[in-house]
Amino acid sequence: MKLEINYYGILSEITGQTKEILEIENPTHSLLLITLHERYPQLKTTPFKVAVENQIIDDDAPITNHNIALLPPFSGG
Amino acid sequence: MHFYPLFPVDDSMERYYRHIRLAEIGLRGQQRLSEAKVLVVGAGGLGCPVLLYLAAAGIGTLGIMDDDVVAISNLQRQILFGTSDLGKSKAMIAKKHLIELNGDIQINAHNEKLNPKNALEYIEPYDIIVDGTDNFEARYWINDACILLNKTFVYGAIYKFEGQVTVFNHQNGPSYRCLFPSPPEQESIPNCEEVGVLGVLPGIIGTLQATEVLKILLNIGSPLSGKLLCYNMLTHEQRLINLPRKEQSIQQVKARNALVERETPWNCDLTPTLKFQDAIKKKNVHFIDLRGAEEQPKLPLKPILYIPFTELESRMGELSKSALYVFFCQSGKRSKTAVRLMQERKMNNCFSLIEGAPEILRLLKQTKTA
Repeated sequence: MKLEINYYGILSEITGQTKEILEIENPTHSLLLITLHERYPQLKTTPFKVAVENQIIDDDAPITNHNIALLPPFSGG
Repeated sequence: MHFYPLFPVDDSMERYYRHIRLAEIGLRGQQRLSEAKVLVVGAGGLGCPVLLYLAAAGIGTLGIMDDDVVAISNLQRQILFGTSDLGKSKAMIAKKHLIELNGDIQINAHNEKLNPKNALEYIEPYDIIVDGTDNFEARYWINDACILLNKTFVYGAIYKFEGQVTVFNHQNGPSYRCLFPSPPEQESIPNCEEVGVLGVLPGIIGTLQATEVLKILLNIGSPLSGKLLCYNMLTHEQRLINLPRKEQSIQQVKARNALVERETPWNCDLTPTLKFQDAIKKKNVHFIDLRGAEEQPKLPLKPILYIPFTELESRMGELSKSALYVFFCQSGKRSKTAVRLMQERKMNNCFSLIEGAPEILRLLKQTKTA
């Protein structure tokens, strides 16, 4: 399945882009994380939430839509 | 209906005429604003536009909580302050400017830093709390206090060119912990101080926060409860993320029934630190050696107090509020913790030396030979 990954905040700096297409077979939350950690080791120590079609998903959820957003917390004010 | 309490009717009618003209607001809505109590925690990049718009809108009681003073690097985005305000209390200066803007409302300036001990007390008298802070700790304290006291929490946060806005703990909606269960390591997400921010960004995000406050009070539109607005100012792209309420996260806070003091490693960047070379230039400086009697090398600094770290709590009474205390230890770790302890005791005249004792000795020798 082709996933459009949208990177927010510091994640776009770590990955060097605001979005990219990744192909993952039978994607799940954890499969996505494994793929991302391999490509960008720095993400292992960066906290973020995964949203699929603008719904936050849990750690073991399957991914059933291509529209992914990765959301880190922001601390600035 | 009675309009008399905060309303000298003629003037207010004119001041708020553009509000009152709106069928969705009218006299009734304006009256609601005049009865509302809103606390803005942090009078910085976000807090300034929030305060300006809420004061202009006629929020009856507006609280400002900030213990910081105006620095020149603030002026690029903190639009309540001017060059003549440098070094002065943000809360007091904000109050002064806001009274100028609208003298009909009550403005409470709290020249205090929010902490787990005072958060409940300060938040309790208000209906809505607006987040204008610049660190995770404070956001979790506000969040938990709002859960415990059943207050609406209007959240905003920024990173470089992006912002997040949402409304937490509103009418059984989700809380901050339903999105991010606990604070991250502070080092993993840098703040504006470290990475910079385009000055207008907090203006946009703060204005969105003020919008949410007014919508909630006026009961118009749909507040961002259960929805996280992610905004990118470079592209003007927005995304609304649905946030479910996680009952377990909220019940955990209720069961604890207190705010967590140190959930994460302390944010080093919030501890006032000094370089040794800068410390020796300050007036009325007292050095405090926090090491045990056996730890070497001893330093030829004057005046110096020897207060081993383990005795600090019991010997705090020896320190006065008028002197400037510079703490050091072997590595700089204990001194940081010590300064945080002092801050909790409202002793804001304490700094932690970046260097440890061996490094300081080296610097002293260098200065002598130079």
